[in-house]
Amino acid sequence: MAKAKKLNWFMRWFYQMASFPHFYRWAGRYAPWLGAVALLLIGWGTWGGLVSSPPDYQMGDGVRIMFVHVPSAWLSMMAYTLMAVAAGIGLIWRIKLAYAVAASCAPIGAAFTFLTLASGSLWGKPMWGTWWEWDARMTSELLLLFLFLGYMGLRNSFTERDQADRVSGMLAVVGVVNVPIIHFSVEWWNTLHQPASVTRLDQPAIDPSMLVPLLVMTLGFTCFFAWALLTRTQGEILLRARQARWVDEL
Amino acid sequence: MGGYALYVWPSYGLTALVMLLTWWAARRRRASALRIAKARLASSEKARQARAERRAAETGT
Repeated sequence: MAKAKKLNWFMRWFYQMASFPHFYRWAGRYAPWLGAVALLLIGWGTWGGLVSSPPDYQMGDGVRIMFVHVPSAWLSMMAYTLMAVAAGIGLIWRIKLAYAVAASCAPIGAAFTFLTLASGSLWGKPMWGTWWEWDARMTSELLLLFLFLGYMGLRNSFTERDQADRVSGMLAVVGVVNVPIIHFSVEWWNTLHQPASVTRLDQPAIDPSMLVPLLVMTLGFTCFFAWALLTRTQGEILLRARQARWVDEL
Repeated sequence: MGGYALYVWPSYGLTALVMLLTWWAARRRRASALRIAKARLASSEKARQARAERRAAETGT
């Protein structure tokens, strides 16, 4: 009995969230808070990354690039996974809000994928002596950028929004196989890129004086992503709302 | 920056720039969508009113 009650509560929430005016108002209420928290955490993380954390024993001050590179990389993969899940929900249950979320993920995800590649390049030059190498980690991350751009290009090639949602949604779902490839590339192949030092089953191979600012920055980036996603989804909702009287009250 | 200034500052600067652009683009997109949605709603209201008036005129005469 208790289980059935819980499901009802969840399904009620689920259906409520799928309603355009409800989600629009909900996003409008919480997005500014997310933005403020993001600003605070990123400010703290930047100070931690540039000032309070020590230089690395091998990389010296070059390690400071990590505090923008790693959070960007995390976001790039998180954004793609979220986009694929949202597109999948849209394809299976035909929920328009899910498509609106998927469409909103792409440009933000593309921006952070670009940042991952650019900051990685700026880190690679002094550490490895090269801006770019066609190793598995970098190539699969570049493929992620092309997947985001391809998704956006495919959407733009349709005049009918419903059709654009469905076809681009399929690309998003198929392309998600690239995400585990990026993550495990440093283990599966012999790469120039170093293996993971934070997401390991045993203890993280990184000192707390660097780990704390890194986690703060990652959380700040994630809050920023959430803010941008909610704001963009609000726009996508407005474009999909037909005959919506509630728009007049905004 | 221990000789790495040429790489550290551009990576922070670029990150800040792209995040600012993302912030700005998201706000701009929502604003333009709101304009489009309001205009669409207004034009459909107008069409509905015109239809109602025509119907009233037809039944009236």
